[in-house]
Amino acid sequence: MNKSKFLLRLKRALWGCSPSEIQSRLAFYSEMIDDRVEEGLSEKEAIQAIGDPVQIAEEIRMELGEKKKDRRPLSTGEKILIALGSPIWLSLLIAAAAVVFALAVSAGAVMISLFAVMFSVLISLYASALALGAAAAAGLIASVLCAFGSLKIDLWIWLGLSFVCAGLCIWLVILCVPIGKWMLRIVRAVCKAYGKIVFRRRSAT
Amino acid sequence: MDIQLKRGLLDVCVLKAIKDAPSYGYQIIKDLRPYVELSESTLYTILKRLETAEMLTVRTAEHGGRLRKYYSITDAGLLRIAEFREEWNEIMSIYRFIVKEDTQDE
Repeated sequence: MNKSKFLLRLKRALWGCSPSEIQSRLAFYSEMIDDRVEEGLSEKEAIQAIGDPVQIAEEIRMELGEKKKDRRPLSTGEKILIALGSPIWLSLLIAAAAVVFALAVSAGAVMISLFAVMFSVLISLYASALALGAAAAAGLIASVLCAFGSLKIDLWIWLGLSFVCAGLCIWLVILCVPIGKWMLRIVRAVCKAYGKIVFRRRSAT
Repeated sequence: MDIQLKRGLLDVCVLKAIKDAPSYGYQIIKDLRPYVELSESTLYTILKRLETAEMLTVRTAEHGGRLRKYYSITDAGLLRIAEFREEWNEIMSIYRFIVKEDTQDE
């Protein structure tokens, strides 16, 4: 048996353990084999010194089981009690599951509505910028029309207003770009966290 | 040997093996070999336990084109060794008491 075969067998024999546990164990044994080989042993000899992967996996499982708690078989009385109590604990279990589900859904809804608020603020900011831009353009057109008309005073008023609007518009756009980026980052982070909490519970247990 | 007692002893053995300088898995096994035969899975468990108890810290370093984990003792680890020496005096006095009882029985 070579190293990769040993690690593969160990990995297979640890099937059902948490991925991080398996990863950590495999890295440990891989290092142990490499260190023995570095000392002058052949890969085969190094693996022989370490032992049978299936047996090692058995030891690991026993140890992990021991860490969780010692599982003793249930007595007949306890089994009957559990069966009789099923209307109670089953309904409680369903209720608990429903509560967890409702919490997850409402958290999602709150998240989405928060995002909606955030983006509507952003959109309204852009809309204001657009309106200011339009006002600037209109002011410019008005001033051009005035330039050909008789009232020269109006020209300066229109031109001034137009510049003020254009300036505000540019500032708003400059402000909106980083705000938008920042919001996207928040959305991404929140979604990631939500996914981790709601969907990856199983790997944690 | 009693499992609890052995567990405690092995923990201190591993701490002693990394006391003077950081060491790695296979080196620890080799250093302890004259005194106690440690299997890889036993060592793994001890190292994890000591890490959780913050008696050692783990650092991954490159060695010969691959990664190797080095274990360094912490102050809590040094304290554990010192505690063990204290405890051992107690155990020795109990031992002397037990041996004395036996010779009187005979």
